Amino acid sequence: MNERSQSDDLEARLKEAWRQAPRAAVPAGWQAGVMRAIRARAGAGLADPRLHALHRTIFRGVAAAAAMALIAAGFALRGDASAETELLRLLALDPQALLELVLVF
Amino acid sequence: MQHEEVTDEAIVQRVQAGDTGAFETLISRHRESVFRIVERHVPRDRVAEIAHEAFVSAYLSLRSFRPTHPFEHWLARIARRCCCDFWRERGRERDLQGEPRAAGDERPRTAALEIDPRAGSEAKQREAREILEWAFARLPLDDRLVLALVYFEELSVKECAQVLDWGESKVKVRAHRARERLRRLLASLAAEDGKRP
Repeated sequence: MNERSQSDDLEARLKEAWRQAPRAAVPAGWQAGVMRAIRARAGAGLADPRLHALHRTIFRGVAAAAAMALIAAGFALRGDASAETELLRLLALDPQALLELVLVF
Repeated sequence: MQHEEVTDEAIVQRVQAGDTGAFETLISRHRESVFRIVERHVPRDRVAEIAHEAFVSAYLSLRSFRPTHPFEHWLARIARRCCCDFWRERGRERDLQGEPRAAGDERPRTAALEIDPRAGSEAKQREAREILEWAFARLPLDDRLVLALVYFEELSVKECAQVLDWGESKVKVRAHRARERLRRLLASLAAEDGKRP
């Protein structure tokens, strides 16, 4: 038997062994334990993925608006325009810093 | 009078409407199949715990369930994902503790290679499982996960991508590489076995 067909044969046997894994019995009281955990969480209500998406969108919108306001305020205060431009360039290169800046404000 | 069984999807609607107790019917119906999936993926002493997590996770994500697909398939995907999370968590713990990934260097005997008319015997199965564990202990975590799902469970690339949260092309590439690595391991094992007296 060549090496490749030996490997094929062993691979097939491993697949069979995988499928025939020894069965684990459902322990007594397991189902009651699951239901206790679920009832404990039921008070918080089911998570709605659409709500999470909405929260994410709102947060991103607020962060973007805050960043724009910050930059506009800098220009309005008639400071050195080149400094704002430099800040804008640095923030564009490092979105993490932009987020941190927004969180600070 | 003929009794018509309430569908899983109808029960899900009841749970979504606030009838938490109805979820117990879903557990009763599907616990065996969830245990069957989990016991193939995680150590025996952790099966009940991971199956528990799978049902709690399913309950918490019930709003994302769409009745266009069978509930059983959706639940199976969550159960497999819990198994993958278990191994990822264990991998992180080992990295933190500096433990070696592959415990023990002793190679298993490879009599499972030989053509044996009694190949279905318990001893052969046990031996093949030892080889599988030996090989899996030597593969990177992602290789193990993708091999288990694509080659052993025979999930489609799309299903595997959903479980692992990967892109489909990543699944294809990683599955191919992982299979090659497994084959090389098995070939080395066979070569070693050939040298033995």
